[in-house]
Amino acid sequence: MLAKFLKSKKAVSGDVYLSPWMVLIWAIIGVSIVIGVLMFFNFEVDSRTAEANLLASRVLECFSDNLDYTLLQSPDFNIYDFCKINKGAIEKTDLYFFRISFIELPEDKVSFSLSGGLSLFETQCDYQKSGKPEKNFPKCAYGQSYSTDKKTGKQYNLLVVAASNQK
Amino acid sequence: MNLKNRKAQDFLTGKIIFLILNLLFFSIMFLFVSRVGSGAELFENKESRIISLAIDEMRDGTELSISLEDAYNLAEKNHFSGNIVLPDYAAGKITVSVVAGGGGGSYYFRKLNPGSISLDPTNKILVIKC
Repeated sequence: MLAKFLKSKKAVSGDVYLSPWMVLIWAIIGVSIVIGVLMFFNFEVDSRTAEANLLASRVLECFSDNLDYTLLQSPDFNIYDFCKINKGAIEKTDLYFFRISFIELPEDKVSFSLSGGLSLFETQCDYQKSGKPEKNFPKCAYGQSYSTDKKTGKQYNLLVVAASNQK
Repeated sequence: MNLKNRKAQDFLTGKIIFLILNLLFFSIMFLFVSRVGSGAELFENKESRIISLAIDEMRDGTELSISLEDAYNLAEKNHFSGNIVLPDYAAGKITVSVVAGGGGGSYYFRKLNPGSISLDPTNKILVIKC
């Protein structure tokens, strides 16, 4: 009814005061105000680098003082419980990724690795590592540490990569 | 006579609808600009991020107090009496609200036990225990 009214009614004086043009003008004014205000007040809290560094440190510190290689390979081993990391935040948000690789010395080859989060971030981190930073890719952090297995006495080189894309 | 009345009625109805639509449009615009312009959204996002970063940085067995005086003042100014800080322990999310219908959220990756985050409204501080 309103649409019909908008379409057909004209003022007695002849001015079109309710017409699709008027709606269009409102839309233009509205969109302009919204864009202008958002451009002026837009503020992004970018703490991705800090978060990636914190996640890398957390994972690395968790194993560097407390390495039990046999326990790691057990099917019941849960890195989230062991390192006190929130599984919900890592697995369900698609905002984080981490991988820790255990390299047995002196062989110097990756014997085992544990990871969590969005695995696509690992590829994006590799891409950025080659010197091509992308604005929409996550920020990545790397870490390295040596650790000794408390049971066997074997030495391991621990390499960690962590990423965050929480803008 | 009837035709003249009908024309006058149509004219009046049209004007009234036009005025109502104008008022509605400018009210929505005013609400939007005042909400964004008050800085509430910006504040909520910034504050929630600060808290989540602080949680991620905490060491085991430590306790941290964060002053929420600005948040309380802003909530008071906006006549907001709800939960200023709302933690979701399962999702690892902190939501800060200082205005009704608002709420800026931020995720943290550290595992916290339920009840680790508490508010002290008297001293306007947030206490986090790891």
